[in-house]
Amino acid sequence: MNGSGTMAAEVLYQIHPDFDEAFATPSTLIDELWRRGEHLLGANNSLRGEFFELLVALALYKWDVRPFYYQAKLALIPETDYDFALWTQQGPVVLSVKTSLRERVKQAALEAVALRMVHRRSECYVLTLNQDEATNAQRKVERGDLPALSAVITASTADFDVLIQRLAKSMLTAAPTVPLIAHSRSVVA
Amino acid sequence: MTQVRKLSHFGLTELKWVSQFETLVPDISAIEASRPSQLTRELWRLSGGDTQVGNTRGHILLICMISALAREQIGPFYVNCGVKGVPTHSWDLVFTSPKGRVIAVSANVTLKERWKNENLAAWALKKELPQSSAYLVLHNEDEATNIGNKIVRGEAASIDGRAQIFSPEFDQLLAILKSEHLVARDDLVDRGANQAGFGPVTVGTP
Repeated sequence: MNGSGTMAAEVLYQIHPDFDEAFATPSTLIDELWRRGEHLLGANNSLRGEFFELLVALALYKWDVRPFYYQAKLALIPETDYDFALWTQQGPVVLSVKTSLRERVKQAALEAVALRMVHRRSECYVLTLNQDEATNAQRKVERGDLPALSAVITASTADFDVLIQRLAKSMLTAAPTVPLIAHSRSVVA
Repeated sequence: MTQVRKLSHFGLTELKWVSQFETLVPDISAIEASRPSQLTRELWRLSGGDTQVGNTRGHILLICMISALAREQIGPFYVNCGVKGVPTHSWDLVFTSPKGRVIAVSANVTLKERWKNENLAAWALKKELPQSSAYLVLHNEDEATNIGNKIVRGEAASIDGRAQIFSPEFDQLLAILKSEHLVARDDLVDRGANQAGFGPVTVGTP
Protein backbone atom coordinates (compact mmCIF):
# COMPACT_ATOMS: atom_id res chain seq x y z
CA MET A 1 0.00 0.00 0.00
CA ASN A 2 1.16 3.56 -0.62
CA GLY A 3 1.15 6.37 1.98
CA SER A 4 -2.51 7.31 1.74
CA GLY A 5 -3.41 3.63 1.56
CA THR A 6 -1.68 3.01 4.88
CA MET A 7 -3.40 6.03 6.40
CA ALA A 8 -6.76 4.80 5.11
CA ALA A 9 -6.12 1.41 6.72
CA GLU A 10 -5.28 3.15 9.99
CA VAL A 11 -8.52 5.13 9.87
CA LEU A 12 -10.44 1.95 9.15
CA TYR A 13 -8.83 0.18 12.09
CA GLN A 14 -9.60 3.14 14.33
CA ILE A 15 -13.32 3.19 13.52
CA HIS A 16 -13.73 -0.55 13.03
CA PRO A 17 -11.36 -2.27 15.48
CA ASP A 18 -13.52 -5.36 15.77
CA PHE A 19 -13.31 -7.09 12.41
CA ASP A 20 -16.18 -9.36 13.38
CA GLU A 21 -18.61 -6.49 13.93
CA ALA A 22 -21.74 -7.40 12.02
CA PHE A 23 -23.65 -5.27 9.54
CA ALA A 24 -27.08 -6.11 8.16
CA THR A 25 -26.20 -5.49 4.51
CA PRO A 26 -23.21 -4.44 2.40
CA SER A 27 -24.71 -0.99 1.86
CA THR A 28 -25.18 -0.60 5.62
CA LEU A 29 -21.51 -1.42 6.13
CA ILE A 30 -20.48 1.22 3.58
CA ASP A 31 -22.89 3.83 4.92
CA GLU A 32 -22.09 3.26 8.59
CA LEU A 33 -18.30 3.04 8.29
CA TRP A 34 -18.12 5.99 5.88
CA ARG A 35 -20.06 8.13 8.38
CA ARG A 36 -17.77 6.99 11.22
CA GLY A 37 -14.60 7.67 9.25
CA GLU A 38 -15.45 10.74 7.18
CA HIS A 39 -14.44 13.32 9.79
CA LEU A 40 -11.02 11.66 10.11
CA LEU A 41 -10.38 11.80 6.37
CA GLY A 42 -10.67 15.55 5.91
CA ALA A 43 -10.49 16.95 2.40
CA ASN A 44 -7.69 14.69 1.21
CA ASN A 45 -9.27 13.21 -1.93
CA SER A 46 -6.65 10.51 -2.28
CA LEU A 47 -7.19 9.36 1.29
CA ARG A 48 -10.97 9.45 0.88
CA GLY A 49 -10.68 7.36 -2.28
CA GLU A 50 -8.41 4.78 -0.63
CA PHE A 51 -10.72 4.57 2.37
CA PHE A 52 -13.75 4.01 0.16
CA GLU A 53 -11.87 1.26 -1.67
CA LEU A 54 -11.10 -0.42 1.64
CA LEU A 55 -14.79 -0.34 2.57
CA VAL A 56 -15.70 -1.98 -0.73
CA ALA A 57 -12.97 -4.59 -0.16
CA LEU A 58 -14.37 -5.24 3.31
CA ALA A 59 -17.90 -5.64 1.95
CA LEU A 60 -16.69 -8.07 -0.73
CA TYR A 61 -14.79 -10.08 1.86
CA LYS A 62 -17.58 -10.21 4.44
CA TRP A 63 -20.22 -11.25 1.91
CA ASP A 64 -17.99 -13.94 0.40
CA VAL A 65 -17.43 -12.28 -2.94
CA ARG A 66 -14.07 -13.97 -3.34
CA PRO A 67 -11.51 -14.26 -4.75
CA PHE A 68 -11.12 -10.68 -5.90
CA TYR A 69 -8.17 -8.73 -7.20
CA TYR A 70 -7.39 -5.26 -5.92
CA GLN A 71 -5.72 -2.65 -8.20
CA ALA A 72 -5.59 -5.21 -10.95
CA LYS A 73 -3.78 -4.84 -14.24
CA LEU A 74 -5.38 -7.14 -16.81
CA ALA A 75 -3.32 -8.77 -19.51
CA LEU A 76 -3.61 -7.21 -22.99
CA ILE A 77 -5.07 -3.93 -21.69
CA PRO A 78 -2.40 -1.25 -21.51
CA GLU A 79 -1.68 1.04 -18.58
CA THR A 80 -4.94 0.50 -16.76
CA ASP A 81 -5.43 -0.42 -13.12
CA TYR A 82 -8.91 -1.67 -12.36
CA ASP A 83 -9.85 -0.98 -8.74
CA PHE A 84 -11.35 -4.44 -8.31
CA ALA A 85 -11.50 -7.37 -10.68
CA LEU A 86 -13.33 -10.67 -10.25
CA TRP A 87 -13.40 -13.65 -12.54
CA THR A 88 -16.68 -15.39 -13.36
CA GLN A 89 -17.36 -18.19 -15.83
CA GLN A 90 -18.44 -15.51 -18.31
CA GLY A 91 -15.25 -13.49 -17.90
CA PRO A 92 -14.11 -10.55 -15.82
CA VAL A 93 -16.27 -8.27 -13.73
CA VAL A 94 -14.57 -5.05 -12.72
CA LEU A 95 -15.57 -2.49 -10.14
CA SER A 96 -14.47 1.10 -10.57
CA VAL A 97 -14.67 2.82 -7.19
CA LYS A 98 -14.97 6.63 -7.06
CA THR A 99 -16.13 8.70 -4.09
CA SER A 100 -17.47 11.25 -6.56
CA LEU A 101 -17.74 11.01 -10.31
CA ARG A 102 -17.56 14.36 -12.10
CA GLU A 103 -15.55 13.76 -15.29
CA ARG A 104 -14.13 10.52 -13.95
CA VAL A 105 -17.09 8.52 -15.18
CA LYS A 106 -15.65 9.03 -18.68
CA GLN A 107 -12.42 7.43 -17.55
CA ALA A 108 -14.31 4.46 -16.13
CA ALA A 109 -16.36 4.22 -19.31
CA LEU A 110 -13.23 4.20 -21.45
CA GLU A 111 -11.67 1.51 -19.26
CA ALA A 112 -14.88 -0.48 -19.71
CA VAL A 113 -14.64 -0.07 -23.50
CA ALA A 114 -11.08 -1.40 -23.44
CA LEU A 115 -12.09 -4.31 -21.24
CA ARG A 116 -14.96 -5.23 -23.52
CA MET A 117 -12.73 -5.13 -26.59
CA VAL A 118 -10.67 -7.91 -25.03
CA HIS A 119 -13.40 -9.71 -23.06
CA ARG A 120 -16.70 -9.40 -24.95
CA ARG A 121 -18.78 -10.68 -22.04
CA SER A 122 -17.17 -8.59 -19.34
CA GLU A 123 -19.08 -6.39 -16.95
CA CYS A 124 -18.01 -3.07 -15.52
CA TYR A 125 -19.72 -1.37 -12.58
CA VAL A 126 -18.96 2.07 -11.24
CA LEU A 127 -19.46 2.41 -7.49
CA THR A 128 -19.77 5.84 -5.96
CA LEU A 129 -21.04 7.57 -2.84
CA ASN A 130 -22.71 10.52 -4.53
CA GLN A 131 -26.27 9.51 -5.29
CA ASP A 132 -27.13 12.47 -7.52
CA GLU A 133 -24.08 11.89 -9.70
CA ALA A 134 -24.82 8.18 -9.80
CA THR A 135 -28.42 8.80 -10.89
CA ASN A 136 -27.29 11.12 -13.69
CA ALA A 137 -24.59 8.73 -14.88
CA GLN A 138 -26.93 5.74 -14.70
CA ARG A 139 -29.37 7.66 -16.90
CA LYS A 140 -26.57 7.99 -19.47
CA VAL A 141 -25.93 4.25 -19.22
CA GLU A 142 -29.62 3.55 -19.84
CA ARG A 143 -29.69 5.96 -22.78
CA GLY A 144 -26.75 4.13 -24.30
CA ASP A 145 -24.33 7.06 -23.98
CA LEU A 146 -21.90 4.96 -21.93
CA PRO A 147 -22.40 1.65 -23.69
CA ALA A 148 -19.68 -0.46 -22.09
CA LEU A 149 -20.70 0.33 -18.52
CA SER A 150 -23.05 -2.18 -16.91
CA ALA A 151 -24.35 0.22 -14.24
CA VAL A 152 -23.44 3.11 -11.98
CA ILE A 153 -24.38 2.27 -8.40
CA THR A 154 -24.43 4.21 -5.16
CA ALA A 155 -22.66 1.94 -2.68
CA SER A 156 -24.76 3.07 0.27
CA THR A 157 -28.04 1.96 -1.33
CA ALA A 158 -29.90 -1.31 -1.84
CA ASP A 159 -28.66 -1.44 -5.46
CA PHE A 160 -25.22 -2.27 -4.07
CA ASP A 161 -26.71 -5.10 -2.00
CA VAL A 162 -28.29 -6.56 -5.13
CA LEU A 163 -24.96 -6.44 -6.94
CA ILE A 164 -23.11 -8.05 -4.04
CA GLN A 165 -25.72 -10.79 -3.75
CA ARG A 166 -25.49 -11.52 -7.44
CA LEU A 167 -21.68 -11.60 -7.37
CA ALA A 168 -21.69 -13.82 -4.28
CA LYS A 169 -23.82 -16.32 -6.18
CA SER A 170 -21.50 -16.23 -9.20
CA MET A 171 -18.94 -18.97 -9.53
CA LEU A 172 -15.91 -16.81 -8.83
CA THR A 173 -12.52 -18.29 -9.51
CA ALA A 174 -8.94 -17.18 -9.76
CA ALA A 175 -8.29 -15.61 -13.16
CA PRO A 176 -7.09 -18.21 -15.64
CA THR A 177 -3.63 -18.25 -17.14
CA VAL A 178 -3.83 -18.23 -20.91
CA PRO A 179 -0.97 -19.48 -23.09
CA LEU A 180 0.25 -16.80 -25.50
CA ILE A 181 0.28 -19.32 -28.35
CA ALA A 182 -2.88 -21.39 -28.25
CA HIS A 183 -1.99 -23.83 -31.03
CA SER A 184 0.82 -24.23 -33.48
CA ARG A 185 2.92 -26.66 -35.40
CA SER A 186 6.20 -25.84 -33.83
CA VAL A 187 9.58 -26.03 -35.46
CA VAL A 188 12.36 -26.53 -33.02
CA ALA A 189 16.05 -26.44 -33.73
CA MET B 1 -3.06 29.18 -52.59
CA THR B 2 -6.44 30.36 -51.30
CA GLN B 3 -6.16 33.17 -48.79
CA VAL B 4 -7.89 32.02 -45.61
CA ARG B 5 -9.17 35.06 -43.82
CA LYS B 6 -11.77 33.81 -41.37
CA LEU B 7 -12.59 30.40 -39.91
CA SER B 8 -16.28 31.24 -40.06
CA HIS B 9 -16.01 31.18 -43.86
CA PHE B 10 -15.60 27.43 -43.55
CA GLY B 11 -18.67 26.84 -41.45
CA LEU B 12 -16.67 26.87 -38.24
CA THR B 13 -19.14 29.15 -36.48
CA GLU B 14 -19.96 26.25 -34.15
CA LEU B 15 -16.44 26.36 -32.77
CA LYS B 16 -16.46 27.74 -29.24
CA TRP B 17 -14.94 31.22 -28.85
CA VAL B 18 -14.57 31.67 -32.63
CA SER B 19 -16.51 34.95 -32.71
CA GLN B 20 -14.28 36.48 -30.00
CA PHE B 21 -11.25 35.18 -31.87
CA GLU B 22 -12.35 36.82 -35.09
CA THR B 23 -12.76 40.12 -33.30
CA LEU B 24 -9.16 39.88 -32.13
CA VAL B 25 -7.82 38.36 -35.35
CA PRO B 26 -10.03 39.64 -38.19
CA ASP B 27 -7.77 38.33 -40.97
CA ILE B 28 -5.64 35.21 -40.52
CA SER B 29 -4.00 35.73 -43.91
CA ALA B 30 -2.56 39.05 -42.76
CA ILE B 31 -0.34 37.35 -40.19
CA GLU B 32 3.22 36.91 -41.30
CA ALA B 33 4.38 33.40 -40.55
CA SER B 34 6.54 31.15 -42.66
CA ARG B 35 5.70 28.01 -40.70
CA PRO B 36 2.51 26.70 -39.06
CA SER B 37 4.20 26.79 -35.65
CA GLN B 38 4.95 30.49 -36.10
CA LEU B 39 1.34 31.11 -37.04
CA THR B 40 0.02 29.30 -33.97
CA ARG B 41 2.42 31.18 -31.69
CA GLU B 42 1.28 34.51 -33.11
CA LEU B 43 -2.43 33.60 -32.98
CA TRP B 44 -2.03 32.51 -29.37
CA ARG B 45 -0.40 35.84 -28.54
CA LEU B 46 -3.01 37.92 -30.37
CA SER B 47 -5.80 35.97 -28.63
CA GLY B 48 -4.27 36.62 -25.24
CA GLY B 49 -3.92 32.89 -24.65
CA ASP B 50 -1.53 33.30 -21.75
CA THR B 51 -3.86 35.61 -19.86
CA GLN B 52 -7.04 33.60 -20.37
CA VAL B 53 -8.20 31.06 -17.84
CA GLY B 54 -9.94 27.69 -17.78
CA ASN B 55 -11.63 26.28 -20.85
CA THR B 56 -11.03 29.41 -22.91
CA ARG B 57 -7.36 28.51 -23.25
CA GLY B 58 -8.39 25.14 -24.63
CA HIS B 59 -10.75 26.78 -27.13
CA ILE B 60 -7.98 29.15 -28.26
CA LEU B 61 -5.53 26.29 -28.67
CA LEU B 62 -7.94 24.40 -30.90
CA ILE B 63 -8.68 27.55 -32.92
CA CYS B 64 -4.94 28.11 -33.40
CA MET B 65 -4.54 24.58 -34.66
CA ILE B 66 -7.54 24.76 -36.97
CA SER B 67 -6.30 28.09 -38.34
CA ALA B 68 -3.00 26.42 -39.21
CA LEU B 69 -4.86 23.56 -40.90
CA ALA B 70 -6.98 26.02 -42.84
CA ARG B 71 -3.99 28.04 -43.97
CA GLU B 72 -2.18 24.87 -45.06
CA GLN B 73 -5.41 23.64 -46.67
CA ILE B 74 -5.34 20.36 -44.78
CA GLY B 75 -8.67 18.63 -44.66
CA PRO B 76 -11.41 17.66 -44.60
CA PHE B 77 -11.62 17.04 -40.87
CA TYR B 78 -14.16 16.59 -38.11
CA VAL B 79 -14.19 18.55 -34.86
CA ASN B 80 -15.01 17.15 -31.38
CA CYS B 81 -15.99 13.78 -32.77
CA GLY B 82 -15.57 10.20 -31.73
CA VAL B 83 -14.99 7.18 -33.91
CA LYS B 84 -17.61 4.48 -34.39
CA GLY B 85 -16.72 1.36 -32.46
CA VAL B 86 -14.79 3.37 -29.88
CA PRO B 87 -17.59 4.77 -27.72
CA THR B 88 -17.34 7.39 -24.98
CA HIS B 89 -14.19 9.15 -26.22
CA SER B 90 -14.04 12.13 -28.53
CA TRP B 91 -11.02 13.72 -30.14
CA ASP B 92 -10.62 17.38 -30.96
CA LEU B 93 -9.84 16.61 -34.58
CA VAL B 94 -10.54 13.49 -36.61
CA PHE B 95 -9.18 12.93 -40.11
CA THR B 96 -10.31 10.03 -42.27
CA SER B 97 -8.91 8.31 -45.33
CA PRO B 98 -10.63 6.43 -48.17
CA LYS B 99 -9.33 3.10 -46.82
CA GLY B 100 -10.78 3.62 -43.38
CA ARG B 101 -7.69 4.91 -41.65
CA VAL B 102 -8.38 7.45 -38.92
CA ILE B 103 -5.94 10.02 -37.63
CA ALA B 104 -7.16 11.34 -34.31
CA VAL B 105 -5.68 14.40 -32.67
CA SER B 106 -6.26 15.69 -29.16
CA ALA B 107 -5.23 19.28 -28.51
CA ASN B 108 -4.72 20.17 -24.87
CA VAL B 109 -3.25 23.10 -23.02
CA THR B 110 -2.35 20.67 -20.26
CA LEU B 111 -3.12 16.98 -19.83
CA LYS B 112 -1.83 15.94 -16.39
CA GLU B 113 -2.99 12.37 -15.75
CA ARG B 114 -5.40 12.39 -18.69
CA TRP B 115 -2.58 11.15 -20.94
CA LYS B 116 -3.60 7.71 -19.68
CA ASN B 117 -7.09 8.19 -21.10
CA GLU B 118 -5.61 9.37 -24.39
CA ASN B 119 -3.34 6.34 -24.51
CA LEU B 120 -6.19 3.96 -23.76
CA ALA B 121 -8.44 5.65 -26.33
CA ALA B 122 -5.65 5.41 -28.91
CA TRP B 123 -5.26 1.73 -28.10
CA ALA B 124 -9.02 1.18 -28.54
CA LEU B 125 -9.00 3.14 -31.80
CA LYS B 126 -6.26 0.92 -33.22
CA LYS B 127 -7.99 -2.21 -32.03
CA GLU B 128 -11.09 -1.12 -33.94
CA LEU B 129 -9.30 0.37 -36.97
CA PRO B 130 -5.78 -1.06 -36.98
CA GLN B 131 -4.28 1.33 -39.54
CA SER B 132 -5.17 4.37 -37.47
CA SER B 133 -2.95 6.83 -35.62
CA ALA B 134 -3.37 9.11 -32.63
CA TYR B 135 -1.43 12.26 -31.87
CA LEU B 136 -1.36 14.78 -29.06
CA VAL B 137 -0.86 18.51 -29.51
CA LEU B 138 0.08 20.28 -26.31
CA HIS B 139 0.75 23.81 -25.17
CA ASN B 140 2.73 22.94 -22.07
CA GLU B 141 6.35 22.33 -23.11
CA ASP B 142 7.27 20.26 -20.05
CA GLU B 143 4.31 17.96 -20.57
CA ALA B 144 5.14 17.60 -24.24
CA THR B 145 8.63 16.49 -23.23
CA ASN B 146 7.34 14.15 -20.51
CA ILE B 147 4.79 12.49 -22.77
CA GLY B 148 7.41 12.17 -25.47
CA ASN B 149 9.54 10.26 -22.97
CA LYS B 150 6.58 8.06 -22.04
CA ILE B 151 6.02 7.23 -25.71
CA VAL B 152 9.69 6.28 -26.09
CA ARG B 153 9.66 4.21 -22.89
CA GLY B 154 6.50 2.40 -23.99
CA GLU B 155 4.24 3.70 -21.19
CA ALA B 156 2.16 5.55 -23.77
CA ALA B 157 2.90 3.21 -26.63
CA SER B 158 -0.47 3.62 -28.33
CA ILE B 159 0.14 7.32 -28.96
CA ASP B 160 2.02 7.79 -32.21
CA GLY B 161 3.47 11.17 -31.43
CA ARG B 162 3.08 14.46 -29.66
CA ALA B 163 3.86 18.00 -30.64
CA GLN B 164 4.21 21.23 -28.74
CA ILE B 165 2.10 23.63 -30.77
CA PHE B 166 4.78 26.32 -31.18
CA SER B 167 7.60 23.92 -32.00
CA PRO B 168 8.96 22.39 -35.23
CA GLU B 169 7.30 19.11 -34.12
CA PHE B 170 3.97 20.77 -34.90
CA ASP B 171 5.19 21.58 -38.42
CA GLN B 172 6.15 17.92 -38.79
CA LEU B 173 2.72 16.79 -37.66
CA LEU B 174 1.06 19.05 -40.20
CA ALA B 175 3.43 17.69 -42.85
CA ILE B 176 2.24 14.18 -41.98
CA LEU B 177 -1.39 15.25 -42.25
CA LYS B 178 -0.72 17.05 -45.52
CA SER B 179 0.84 13.93 -47.00
CA GLU B 180 -2.29 11.87 -46.27
CA HIS B 181 -5.10 11.41 -48.75
CA LEU B 182 -7.95 12.74 -46.63
CA VAL B 183 -11.62 12.40 -47.43
CA ALA B 184 -14.86 12.81 -45.52
CA ARG B 185 -16.03 9.49 -44.09
CA ASP B 186 -19.22 10.08 -42.12
CA ASP B 187 -19.56 6.32 -41.72
CA LEU B 188 -16.49 6.25 -39.45
CA VAL B 189 -17.31 9.25 -37.33
CA ASP B 190 -19.50 9.55 -34.27
CA ARG B 191 -20.76 13.06 -33.57
CA GLY B 192 -21.86 12.12 -30.06
CA ALA B 193 -25.22 11.71 -28.37
CA ASN B 194 -25.91 15.45 -28.42
CA GLN B 195 -24.42 15.88 -31.88
CA ALA B 196 -21.79 18.14 -30.31
CA GLY B 197 -19.27 17.09 -32.90
CA PHE B 198 -19.35 18.58 -36.36
CA GLY B 199 -17.83 18.30 -39.78
CA PRO B 200 -16.62 17.46 -42.27
CA VAL B 201 -14.91 20.83 -42.48
CA THR B 202 -13.45 21.38 -45.92
CA VAL B 203 -10.81 24.08 -46.03
CA GLY B 204 -10.57 24.72 -49.74
CA THR B 205 -12.05 27.77 -51.39
CA PRO B 206 -14.82 29.08 -49.10
